[in-house]
Amino acid sequence: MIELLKLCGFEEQEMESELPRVEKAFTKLGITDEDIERGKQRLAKYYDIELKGVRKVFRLIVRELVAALLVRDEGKKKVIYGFMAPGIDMLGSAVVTKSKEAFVIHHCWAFHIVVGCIFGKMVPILEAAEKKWLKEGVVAHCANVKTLVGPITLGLFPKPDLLVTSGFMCETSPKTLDLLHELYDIPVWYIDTCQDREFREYPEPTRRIASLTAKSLKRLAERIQEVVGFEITDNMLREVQDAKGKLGDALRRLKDLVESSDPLPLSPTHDNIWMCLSTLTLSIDGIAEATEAINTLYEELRERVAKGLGVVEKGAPRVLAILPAGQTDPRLEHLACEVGIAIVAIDGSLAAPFKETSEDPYMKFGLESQQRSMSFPLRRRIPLIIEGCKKLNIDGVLDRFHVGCRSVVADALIIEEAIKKELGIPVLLLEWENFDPRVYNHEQYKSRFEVFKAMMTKKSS
Amino acid sequence: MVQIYFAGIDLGSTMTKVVIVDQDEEICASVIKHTGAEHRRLANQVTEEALIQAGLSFDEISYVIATGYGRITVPFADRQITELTCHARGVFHFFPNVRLAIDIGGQDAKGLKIKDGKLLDFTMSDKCAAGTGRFLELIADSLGLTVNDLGSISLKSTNKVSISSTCTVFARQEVVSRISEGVPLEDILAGIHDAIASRVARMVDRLKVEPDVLFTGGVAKNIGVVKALKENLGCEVLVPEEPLLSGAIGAALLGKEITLKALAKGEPIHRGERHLSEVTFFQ
Repeated sequence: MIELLKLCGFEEQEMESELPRVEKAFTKLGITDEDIERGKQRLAKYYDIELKGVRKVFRLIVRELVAALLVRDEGKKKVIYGFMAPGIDMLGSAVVTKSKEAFVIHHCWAFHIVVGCIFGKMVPILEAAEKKWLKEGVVAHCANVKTLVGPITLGLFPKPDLLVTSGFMCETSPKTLDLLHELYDIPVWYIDTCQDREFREYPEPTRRIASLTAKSLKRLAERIQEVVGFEITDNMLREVQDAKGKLGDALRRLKDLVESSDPLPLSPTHDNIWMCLSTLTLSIDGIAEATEAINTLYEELRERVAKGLGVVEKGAPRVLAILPAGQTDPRLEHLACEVGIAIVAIDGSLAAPFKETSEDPYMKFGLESQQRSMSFPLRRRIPLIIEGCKKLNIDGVLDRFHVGCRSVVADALIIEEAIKKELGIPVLLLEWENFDPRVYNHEQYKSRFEVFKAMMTKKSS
Repeated sequence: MVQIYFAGIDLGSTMTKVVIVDQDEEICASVIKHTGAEHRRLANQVTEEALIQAGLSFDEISYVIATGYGRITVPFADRQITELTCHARGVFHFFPNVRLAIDIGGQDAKGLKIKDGKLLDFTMSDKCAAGTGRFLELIADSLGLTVNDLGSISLKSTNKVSISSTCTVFARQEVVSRISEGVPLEDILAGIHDAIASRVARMVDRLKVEPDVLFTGGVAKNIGVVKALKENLGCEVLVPEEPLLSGAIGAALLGKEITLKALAKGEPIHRGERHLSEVTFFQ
């Protein structure tokens, strides 16, 4: 266990205090010695764990999960869960900064990384959810909700005082929480907004939608205040937004370095790690620690770049991936590297500068969330993807579209057509399930990747 | 002038194919054999047979490319290249105007969008046996026929039935039910062929069907499936004289391109060991 924790960035001097906590938490998860060995191997195989910055990030994620698993044991009186709930990380960070007695977990991210990516033990969790009511199969129920239901039904996470989701990202999610409320008497709450625009506004961000988002978040804040017993002030939120802004800047700087370097200096398996880090409900001190970890990694990668070191060979075909990396399984991204494809960026990190913002933290959130790539309507998203491909000298696009997600699956063919028409570069469509490792078929994906690489290589030569 | 020769080995799930071409791209030898469990031994054997056919020694082969699912188990190959790339090159050799190639093999079906011998796009159906050679083998087996019988029998059909199941197992059950209902065999087989063709047509629709359309792979020898494919695609479908060899031919031709390019640039040609070793899984 100690070796595993060292690989995850735990320092020698903190082992005395952290080891018992981690052991207790992992016992709850049913992690065995065999799992620990596997975890060490998977960390070494799939992640650039020799980089201190990467280890520091893993440390934050592991500690977050441990805290979530031991939340009642360690005396937290109020526990709030967020699942597919944009804005809960902002509110949650404000809450945990203010009070040691309250805890907010966002979206099982840390659970995905530790249980799925490190230990490769997500399948029993999914099966637990499937035994209840969620169907098996890639196009049945999205495995994302299974990663929420599974731990709750297995009693891994204690019953929260409030469970929050959103209605506008996905309808499976609020319905799932509805059922959790009925079955387990968990208090639930929904935030909502409207993603549609009137034709004269389409497809730009609008204050009308932002104010709806802001109102919904304010109502959520009031509900959280009832649970935790203290006020969440605008100043608290501004401090969180400032801290997260710095983390965002650090991540942006890191991604710019990775995107612009040849050979690719860091494996794309880390893409979901950054996503996790951005949305953890860390305290302000924790967010600062995360920023420092990213800055450390940035310096390490600069050294790699200066030495010409990379995870694929120089001149490898450069690929933009559409949609996030596998959340519970790093094998697909690792396979891309093995085949010799450099996934240099994901479309989620393509950002147009924010045209509008606000001093009011809720309005700021409401405006800025409309201006992130994945929130865009297709007609705004496609030009952003195409510009990104040109700017990053992309040789091909990989669309690993999550087939169980109604939000994204319809777009795949339209995006493909637009890219081929505008850029004439190969597009590989991969049917994918972002949260279920059972879909991974090595031979199938390897065949496709190899042909994709050959098509890109021929095109550039 | 010294002749130089190139070999392509396509180690598929069902059949292994070897082709030797000379620098004028003439086929000097071709061998097709059933793939078994011992890929490496078979690759050795079929290559030996091709060399005998061509009257050549192994040393006279300038470059060997292996392709197909079993390509990594060919120890004497100089390089492994994906079958789709080899296939695209192979079909272009005989049909320079081909824009869409459909390959239905033992365990998968593929669509290749091609232009000037280069692969522009592709689609694959390799998740289950439906619509593949294996499907036809199972159907033939359940009807007490051989795969070679299916095509000619189906051409006698005057009223093909619709096979509703997309799964091989359930389609087989459906065939048995139809037989017991007294439906003529030729009508059932025509329905089976239509099921395969419609599945494949849906698969390649994304690539946009445009002539010339070429049909390759073992299933292309089934004239019933060829007919059904024409009907479902709504256009003429060409079939090469030996539809199994496109991948191996393409592999050999790519070997020629690699060799000549290296010679022209004065670069070394990286080769594997120049002997056919008797390699088995149990060594």
